[in-house]
Amino acid sequence: MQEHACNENGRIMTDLDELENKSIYIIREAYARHRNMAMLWSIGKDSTALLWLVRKAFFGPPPFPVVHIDTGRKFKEIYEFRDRFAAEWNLNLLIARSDRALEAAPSFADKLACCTELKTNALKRMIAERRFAALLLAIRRDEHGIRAKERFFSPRDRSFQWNYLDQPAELWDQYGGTADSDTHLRIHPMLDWRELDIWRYIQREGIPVVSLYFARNGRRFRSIGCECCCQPVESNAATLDEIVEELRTTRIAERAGRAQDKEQAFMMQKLRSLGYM
Amino acid sequence: MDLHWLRIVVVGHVDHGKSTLIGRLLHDSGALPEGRLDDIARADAAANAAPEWALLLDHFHEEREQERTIDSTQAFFATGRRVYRIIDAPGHREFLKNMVTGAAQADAAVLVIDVEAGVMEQTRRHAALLALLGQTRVIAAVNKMDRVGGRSAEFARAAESAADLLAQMNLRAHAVIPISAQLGWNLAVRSEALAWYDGPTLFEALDSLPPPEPQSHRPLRFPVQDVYPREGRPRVVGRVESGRVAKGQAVLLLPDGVPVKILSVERFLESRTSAEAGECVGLTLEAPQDVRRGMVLCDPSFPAKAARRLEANMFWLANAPWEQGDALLLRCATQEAPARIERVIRRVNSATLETIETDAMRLEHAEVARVVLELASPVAVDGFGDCPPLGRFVLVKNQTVCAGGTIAAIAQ
Repeated sequence: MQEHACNENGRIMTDLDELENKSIYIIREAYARHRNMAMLWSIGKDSTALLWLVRKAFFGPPPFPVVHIDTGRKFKEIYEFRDRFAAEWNLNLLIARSDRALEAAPSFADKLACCTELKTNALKRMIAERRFAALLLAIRRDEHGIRAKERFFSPRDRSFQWNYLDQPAELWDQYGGTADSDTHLRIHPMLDWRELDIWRYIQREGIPVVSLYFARNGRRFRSIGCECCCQPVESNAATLDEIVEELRTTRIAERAGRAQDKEQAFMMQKLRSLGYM
Repeated sequence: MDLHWLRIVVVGHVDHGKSTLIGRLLHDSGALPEGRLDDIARADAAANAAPEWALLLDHFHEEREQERTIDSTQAFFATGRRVYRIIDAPGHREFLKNMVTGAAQADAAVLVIDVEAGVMEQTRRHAALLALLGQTRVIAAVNKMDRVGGRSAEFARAAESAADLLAQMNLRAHAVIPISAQLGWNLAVRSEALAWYDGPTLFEALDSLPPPEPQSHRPLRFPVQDVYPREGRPRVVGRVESGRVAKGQAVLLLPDGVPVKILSVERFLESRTSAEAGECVGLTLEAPQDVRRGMVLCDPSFPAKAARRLEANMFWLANAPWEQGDALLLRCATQEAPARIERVIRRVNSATLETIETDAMRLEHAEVARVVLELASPVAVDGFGDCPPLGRFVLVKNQTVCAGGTIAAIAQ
């Protein structure tokens, strides 16, 4: 698509410029309203792109903590990447980890229970401890039908639930007001991005990503998370250019390799209404 | 993909086929990932409902059980020429704030009308809200043509009432197209069954919509979003809503009307001396006073006006009614001011477009009104037609957006 271009009136905004500026606006809006906030960094491509936008918004290190929810079951490449760039980008990294739950070792077979305990509950404890008023998350509408229904600013109630049947009106960049002391806001600066846009942006900006995304021996991961619940897809895309080209033509859904989406109908709705990301 | 992307909202009366249309568009444009149709079949088996295109959009369990869209959804598809983000807006009156949320983000609208039922209550209400939101680019799609055997007489009747409705709102349809969302008639491909129709297909009509108007040629408006301290002069951040900013430029800081000078224009890891409408930047300023969120940098030749009384057109979204004396908060770009509705000049039923009363003391859910607003402190505004970003506002009550509106004039 288009690169940065100029005419007699100056720069012409490309679609990636528009997405980038809208996200930066939302990130700054979040911080203007909630100084006591944090962002979630799963170390995947989307939240790494979000982190890149956050650094742009604040001209360097984020002025708030970056939270990694560590299930203890992530790929080793994810941990290596996290530690390298947390240092390089001078991040205030917080790790939300449920050691007690890990000892009890929830069964992989019961995915709803496992995700709830190791991710949702670990995050719940972190929010309670730190009293975060708002969290930035890198979810996108095109990832999953249920995420397509999200707002940019989405309140969660005291028990973490998403009242999806009565979401606030959102118009003209006027986002939900201040959160009550017993709720927190989920803020989604990247809702409008598609998977292809993320990769084109990573390519344009030279954003580093975990090596698992690039094909080895005819397979690559399109979506990464816990080692036990992610399957690679068949692909020969070993470079950024090849990934972008693959996504322009693919008909395979991005989260096709993610077990939690497939277990049963409406599992994602259940997870999300309970506070899952 | 030679055209800039567009956001399209699909509106219209309940059951006139909005979600079906979008589901079919996704399918016909090849946007559905493999397995999505199976997915629906599987979810259906559980919920025991008949498979339908609409199910591609309705993802809440409640939506599938009740066979109605509750919240707006967005999906993406592409014609050969551009990428569309398509927004499905619910048709029920009770979900009006979801419809407005969807419609306010769109560059153009597709108004779906059932050929047999014609213009109905929500058709009128949605058209009225499109007009109020400043959404002037509308395509009317007369749906379910298969139900009338594809006959042109039935189409002509529905098309005429659609044109009348839009004219009433000072809107003009970019195209009026006979379609069958269910069967894919005149969406991506021209239908044999409607051979008498020689206008554009929906894809052709969408591709012929002009891109959104650039805002860079308008006078500068830069609402201050935040101020980030650092050593030396702080960074003043915000988005150029219209016009452009450049190093060395002399501008006016509203609402006080103080002249300031732009010393630098900054973006992280970029070397810049200027920025255009739509760009988020940091500025350093030479200013005689502290700069705070809610102030607005303006072109000194064509500044916005600092106002404390506004005449506006607005719609009431909250379920609870407005009653005289209610304490509200007005938000316009990054500005905030305590506000009250001083006078409801005219209270209008948005579905019938009839005036309910003049000098009203009360506004109910989904009603439209012409009002005078009184603000506790001055806010920098423009007429909506002159500069939309400072010409529109929301009203907040109990931390919830309960109304939206556009500024018609500054009241004396």
